[in-house]
Amino acid sequence: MMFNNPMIWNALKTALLETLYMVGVSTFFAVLFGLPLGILLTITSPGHIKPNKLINTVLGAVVNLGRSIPFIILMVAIINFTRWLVGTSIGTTAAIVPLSISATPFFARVTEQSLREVDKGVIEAAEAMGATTLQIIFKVLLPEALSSLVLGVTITAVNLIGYSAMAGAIGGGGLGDLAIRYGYQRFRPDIMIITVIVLVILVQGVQTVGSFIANRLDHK
Amino acid sequence: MGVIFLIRFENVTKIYKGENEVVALKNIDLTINDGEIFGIIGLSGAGKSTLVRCINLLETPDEGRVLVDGVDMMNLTRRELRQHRKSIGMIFQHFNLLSSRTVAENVAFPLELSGVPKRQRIKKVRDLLELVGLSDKARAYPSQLSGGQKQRVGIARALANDQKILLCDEATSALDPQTTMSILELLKKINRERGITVVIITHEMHVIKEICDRVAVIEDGRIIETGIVEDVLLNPTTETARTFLKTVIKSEVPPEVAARLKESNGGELLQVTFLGGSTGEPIINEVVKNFDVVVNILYGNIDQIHDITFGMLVLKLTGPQRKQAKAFLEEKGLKVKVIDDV
Repeated sequence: MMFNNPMIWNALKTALLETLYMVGVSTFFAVLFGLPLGILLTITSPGHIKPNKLINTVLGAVVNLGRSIPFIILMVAIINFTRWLVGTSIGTTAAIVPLSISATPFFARVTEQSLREVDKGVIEAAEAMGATTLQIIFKVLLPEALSSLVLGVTITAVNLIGYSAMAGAIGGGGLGDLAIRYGYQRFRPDIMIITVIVLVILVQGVQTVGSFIANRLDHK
Repeated sequence: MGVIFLIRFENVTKIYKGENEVVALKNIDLTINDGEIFGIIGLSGAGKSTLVRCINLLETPDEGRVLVDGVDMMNLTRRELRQHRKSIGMIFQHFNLLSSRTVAENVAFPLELSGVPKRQRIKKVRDLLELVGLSDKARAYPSQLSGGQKQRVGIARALANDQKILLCDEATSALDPQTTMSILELLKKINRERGITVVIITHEMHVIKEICDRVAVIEDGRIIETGIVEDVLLNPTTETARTFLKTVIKSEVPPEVAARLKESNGGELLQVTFLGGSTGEPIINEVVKNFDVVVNILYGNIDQIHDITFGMLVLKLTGPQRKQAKAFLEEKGLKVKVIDDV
């Protein structure tokens, strides 16, 4: 009965676009803020190129704090901040704020892990060649870790797809919202199932593309 | 004008602090001359890696001075130090190439750091790859190369800024013997053609024997012996140097031979060690001609360091004039040892 109902298809299409919008923009911000954080966490760690115990400890604590707040609580807790930043506390655009804030510390740790995998010997070689700290970051650490970083972005995006469904619960729109409003509240298991199928395909697609790009970039 | 020094350690001490304090280098005084190939040999943990890293200050000494080309490295600002590091090339045991860059891009890396324009970089990289014999691999990634090829890339990269000094940190230790030889040949060629000073640290005596002009033996953070390779190899004064020596020069009769010698009855067994000039003369022939003896060569071993030949023979002498023959050998400057019990 649903397959010949254009209204449901339209709702599904809108929800999918909303999810892509939320996930895309918040992934972008997570990388934008998380990457520099991750770089700082790495290079200030003991034995790295700019060891600094104070910065490293403070940043580490902030990142851990950000990661320990459950997303659903964060979402509600920062409503005022969200309203101040984007002018509204409901809807898809508003959902992007907590999504970005939640994914930033996660991506910072992912970045740190990727950068730590860069061979110490290669960094030492660059130092022996007279490279500056910035040159080591941009010409050694990031290019050497690029493949691993792409996988990190992929993991972050997949996580955000899950979180965005939760954001739907407070009127964020997207596939999660559709599943709850139609599938759960209006007793339409068929819509619930098709929404989940779309989510599964979306996650598979993101992961496949991410893995493909990472493989192409990997010359190890 | 005599030979001028290029690198000089003055009373250098390095201590790793921590729970267990480790004295990595203790009062090192060492001079490395311009244009020579200088070897530093020691067992792992002896401090040789730390020593070579004190030249470009990848490790900072706690005491003493390091002079490179007349400059006190520890008096430099960070910016000046980076500038000076560009004139000191370094190659590593595990090559340390950037896996995300092609061979050509790896060689271009130090040029990029120095801000050399792209057109010049391309030309320079082409010349360097030709020098190390890898012109056909310019577009390959390091993972597609053999160990020897990777080290050639490392060498090309270490020469890109026309360095005056090349530091080699166990550069052949991860390579098979044949590849090691070809890398050593390349280092020798670069030293000869470019006049670049090469500092090699290794735990392999044959590397020293093959290409070094002078050598320092390091043990427990101290230099225990230093000198021209021939001198140190042939007249070692310390037990450690002697141990290293044994790895390249067999001066002892191997057990299998010894067992066979025990079975051969009659006559007298002599171990004759010879060195340098005397090898040009037909001494054994003269012994047989001049004395009433029969000489049987049971075992022999001859080797060469630079142009000095040395070796050891085990002879069995039978006949009445054995004593005179023995005296004759000694007269010719050979070391003769009677071995009744081999």
